[in-house]
Amino acid sequence: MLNLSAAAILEKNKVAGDSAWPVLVEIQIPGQDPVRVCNNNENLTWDGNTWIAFPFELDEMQESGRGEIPSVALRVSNVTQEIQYYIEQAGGGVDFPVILRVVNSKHLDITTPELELDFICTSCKYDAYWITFTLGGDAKLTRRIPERRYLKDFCPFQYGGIECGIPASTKAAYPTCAKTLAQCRQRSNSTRFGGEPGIPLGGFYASA
Amino acid sequence: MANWPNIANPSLPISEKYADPALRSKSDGGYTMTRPRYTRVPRTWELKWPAMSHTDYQTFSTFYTGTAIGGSVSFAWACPTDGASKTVRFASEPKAEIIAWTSAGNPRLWAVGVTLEEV
Repeated sequence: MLNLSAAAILEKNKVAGDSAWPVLVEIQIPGQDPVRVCNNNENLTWDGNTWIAFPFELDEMQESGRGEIPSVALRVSNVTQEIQYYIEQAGGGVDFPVILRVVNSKHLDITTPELELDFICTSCKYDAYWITFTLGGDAKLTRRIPERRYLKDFCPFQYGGIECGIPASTKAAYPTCAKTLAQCRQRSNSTRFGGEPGIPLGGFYASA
Repeated sequence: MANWPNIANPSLPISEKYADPALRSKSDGGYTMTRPRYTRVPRTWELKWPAMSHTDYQTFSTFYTGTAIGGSVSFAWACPTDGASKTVRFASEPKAEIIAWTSAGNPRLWAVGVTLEEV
């Protein structure tokens, strides 16, 4: 249930209200100061920060019955190409937090927003007019769990990496590895074999 | 910031329009609920010169094409209704018509109309 402040409820219920409900967007691009914009036609000061009046649009939340994570498109004006610069400096426009907040223009002294939604930018594209961020759920929701596949005769570790741990001399002698238990034994490294030979398998088992 | 060029003042009347930021929602009960969508009410002005001199027109044309680059760049303009300096841009293309050719004792004249909007 949405909890509004008492002041916001009073404003919301007015037949002729005198306050706007601007949406504040904070885009936290890595390595850059947060981009703080609002969809008002003048700058706002809220929570000690200036929110720049900047054209942007929010689509409706996209939900489906196919088990997909809900997403919403945020289109920010790209006419002046200011935010495009920040995105290019950050090496793209994905995997950073975007926070949407709704406040009341008559109660900007209340530092708790009336509505706050946290998203992760899952994709980004732009043209001459708009930068379109697709905002979705946290990356935890899209992460594979368990992280690795458990295979009987296949080591998931990077050959020569920290988990594999073979010495440089061994790697020089054997530049490549087929990731099997037999190959690991050949390198006297089977104690670090990352596969799961104990997984039952019907019939006779022999590592290649 | 660029300034409005030094040309003759526009003629009266000067039309001043306000944008309406109100959102309206009519109810079955017969009343209407309203609230502002934005916190500022920007204005637009329509200016007309029924007989602008050719010198002024050349100055205006240079300003429109070179300084303001059409409606791209904002500039400072002294609003005649309250005398305050406003940051404005061209809201639409100016309309200019030549109304008198140069002849003995008569300079070339233009009828010009522009619309400025508050940035």
